[in-house]
Amino acid sequence: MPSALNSATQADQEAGTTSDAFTSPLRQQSHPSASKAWARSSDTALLQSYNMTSFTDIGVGNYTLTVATNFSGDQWGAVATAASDGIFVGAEGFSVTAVSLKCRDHANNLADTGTTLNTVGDQ
Amino acid sequence: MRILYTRLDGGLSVVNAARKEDLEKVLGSLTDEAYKAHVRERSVPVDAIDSIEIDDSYVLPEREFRDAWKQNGNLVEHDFIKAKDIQLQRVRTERDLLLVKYDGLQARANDIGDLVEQSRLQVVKAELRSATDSLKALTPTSIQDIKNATADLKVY
Repeated sequence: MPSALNSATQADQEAGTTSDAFTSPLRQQSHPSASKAWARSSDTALLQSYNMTSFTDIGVGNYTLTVATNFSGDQWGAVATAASDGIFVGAEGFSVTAVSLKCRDHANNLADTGTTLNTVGDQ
Repeated sequence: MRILYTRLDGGLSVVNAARKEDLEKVLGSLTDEAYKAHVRERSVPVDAIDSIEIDDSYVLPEREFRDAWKQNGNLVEHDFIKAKDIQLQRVRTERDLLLVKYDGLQARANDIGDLVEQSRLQVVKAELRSATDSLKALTPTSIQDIKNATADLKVY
């Protein structure tokens, strides 16, 4: 009969190599493959989110998303999409707390749009 | 929860906080004060000017001149000079496209020696070149002033 399994610690999750511990809901997101924070926003407000503190409207097509839990460094990843046809989103200016989204139309002008953001990396 | 602040570049930022119940899924139970402190600490830069919380029911101006917004206490107003510059740039961009189109028509008129068309196109291009004159001369006191002084280039 197998011995009782232990709950994976955050270190277990981040290492991702242990096969004799189970993943608890609390630790699930610590695995390198897991999303760390996400947000769905209009051009003026945060509509739905997880692990996000705020959405800041800087100007036309220029928004900052601030996460609620710091990343370990600024080398994390973000995937962002626009809710409007013909508008493209660039994620730049990564810090441990935030990322800047610049949304541009086909003529490279900043343009307002809703956005969806997903992030991965070590927190 | 929303916070206004003015940046060092003079622009206005509007912080829109995540819902308290969404943050509590990650941070645990928060008092209202702890929630507001968390949002402010993480979202408002240390060099922000005049940061102030505004009521969620406050209606911000239309975004047509968003980059001309400025802060007056807990209100958002327009910097009319910035708004005028934004509108001038829009007219210039639209006009440049039209001038390219009319340059093409003029080249064709020149090729076939159509003097009447050449003359007409010269008038049209002169009108386009002066399309920003009334706006440039304006000292705006409202957004409507700016709209009223904007040439309608759709007729071209």
